[in-house]
Amino acid sequence: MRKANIIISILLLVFAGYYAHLTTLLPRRDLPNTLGAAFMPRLLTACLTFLSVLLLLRDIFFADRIKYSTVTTSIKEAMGIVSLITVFVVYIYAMHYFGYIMVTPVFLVMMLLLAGSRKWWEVLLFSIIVTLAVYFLFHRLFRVPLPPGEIIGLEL
Amino acid sequence: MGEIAIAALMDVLKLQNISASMMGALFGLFIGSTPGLTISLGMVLLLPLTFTLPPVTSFCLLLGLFSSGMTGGSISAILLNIPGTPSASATAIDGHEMAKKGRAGEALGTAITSSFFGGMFSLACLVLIAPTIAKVALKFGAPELFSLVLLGLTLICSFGQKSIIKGLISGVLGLIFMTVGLDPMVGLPRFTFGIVELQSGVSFLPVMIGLFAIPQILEGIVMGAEVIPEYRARLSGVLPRFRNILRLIKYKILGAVMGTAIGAIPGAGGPIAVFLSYDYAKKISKNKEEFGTGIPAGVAAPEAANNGMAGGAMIPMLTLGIPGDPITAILLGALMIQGLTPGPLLFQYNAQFVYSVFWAFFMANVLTLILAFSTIKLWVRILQVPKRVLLPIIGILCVIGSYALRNTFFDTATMLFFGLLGYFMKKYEFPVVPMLLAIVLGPALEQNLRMALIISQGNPSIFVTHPISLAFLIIAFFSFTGPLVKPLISGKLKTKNTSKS
Repeated sequence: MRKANIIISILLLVFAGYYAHLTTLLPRRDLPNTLGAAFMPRLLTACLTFLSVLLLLRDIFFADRIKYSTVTTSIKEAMGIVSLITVFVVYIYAMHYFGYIMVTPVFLVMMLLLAGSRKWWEVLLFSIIVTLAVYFLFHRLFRVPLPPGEIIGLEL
Repeated sequence: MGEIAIAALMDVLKLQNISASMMGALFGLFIGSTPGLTISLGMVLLLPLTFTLPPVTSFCLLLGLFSSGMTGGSISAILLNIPGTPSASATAIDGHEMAKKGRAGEALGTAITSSFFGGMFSLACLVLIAPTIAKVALKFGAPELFSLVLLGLTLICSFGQKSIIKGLISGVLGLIFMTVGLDPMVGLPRFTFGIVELQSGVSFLPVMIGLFAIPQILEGIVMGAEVIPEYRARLSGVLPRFRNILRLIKYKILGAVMGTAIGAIPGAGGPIAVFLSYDYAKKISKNKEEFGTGIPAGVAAPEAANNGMAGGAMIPMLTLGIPGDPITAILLGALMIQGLTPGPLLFQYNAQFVYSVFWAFFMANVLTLILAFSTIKLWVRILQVPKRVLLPIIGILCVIGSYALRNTFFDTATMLFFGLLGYFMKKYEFPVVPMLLAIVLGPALEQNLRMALIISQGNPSIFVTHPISLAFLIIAFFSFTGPLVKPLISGKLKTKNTSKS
């Protein structure tokens, strides 16, 4: 965790620097005797910089006083995260074009397979039932809008 | 006032509101009793349903979930020794011991009745105290409101228990995210990068869904869902006898008082309330040594505290617009989605709605009691539903919930971004609650700060010349420095004691 903390505090410092740079680009249209649009961002930049430096110094100089927990990232875990996020991104992207009804069963099948389900008929049946149940509950009962799809989506 | 209360009651008693409350209560029992699913997660999943509902119906739904989720947490705590919610941790100590002795039904019955007692007690406190606080808070101007919001934000420290610096960084990052969008005073776009959707700022619903739900999905699927042990024994004697209810009354009163009082202190947190009430129940009991071996008093006190917290936490949320925990922060968000401004003005301009919230909370408690007793065997079965089945459903609800806010995929992308951020924050021990609090309170902080300085023509002494504002600033100072100084003091005391011995 110590190494991770040091890397995170450096990343936060870089972010604070970028945020400070963006703050300087804010247009000025200040009223007399008032704080401008850049005041709060500048204050927050200072706070973030201070805290990041504090975290960095703590983990460099006072590491012996801190009880660190071990954080490990296995290849399996990293691959799992990447696959899941990819499934989510593809789901959101595909839903934009093909709509909720067509894409959701496919998303559910992929999620269930990633979660370790192996019985095909169960996976398929579950995906279709859940898709329809959510559709009826959200769209029909509560009138919550669901993405209709731009290309070949079904009319919801 | 009486007429408003009766009109509010009539409103709450409409069929759609009773149905919403019942649906919320059933969902809450499910969420509460399923280990790993939190009430906050349940709330963010239900929020999208409230977009098209009237405010009162929305609150019936959400308060049903809030009340029953707290009760539901005790089911898995008692039967499996796995607390469904963090606040049910203390219940597991004696509750599970009772279950092991074949008295699971009695333990569950005690938990349900104690929860009901705690909920009703906190409701009474809410009804009696809230209007008075709101009346006082009506006199607050911009300087007082700024100092109050600052006080709310200093609570960030209490959430960063593992590392105060990390808690503060999380809060500052939340405030930074809230600077995106049109400037609240002069309307200039800030950090929008030419993206139209960003002009109205970062919507807090996708942020909440992302921070609470996505890390659970990622963890559950990637790390593998934990195997929940099966509960096979028969459940009997759930309905408690009146004599037994009376026998435990002092523990219930103790738990309810402690839960409500601690719940009303923003940032204090549920686990503190339940463990303190358990500890005090032990102290006032004649049979101290029996605590931990499976006695009903060890279940009654923490369960009453657990639900007592619910009403307590709503006092600062409704009267001052300051959420004390993630659940009330989400409830605050629900109010904003409905176009209502939380705080004292809510009592002035939407008095009937406030009374409807009181009645809705009353109904939620009653329905939780009835539903928990009548469906207890169902929840014991549902405990066995594997998480790998639930997590994909939560995934869909996250996507469509964030989409439904403004019918834009930009919000779903925001949800995913914050979900990933939340996952890494959790992994590297950065608490997410300070970020959530900062996102909810950030706009009010900046607006009131700048408004106060316009009033004082740029003179910052306005914050200390107003007595109420000064008082809030002093409390905020101690609330901020307290957690920083506490380890130093306790360290010095320890060294002193060691050198003495």
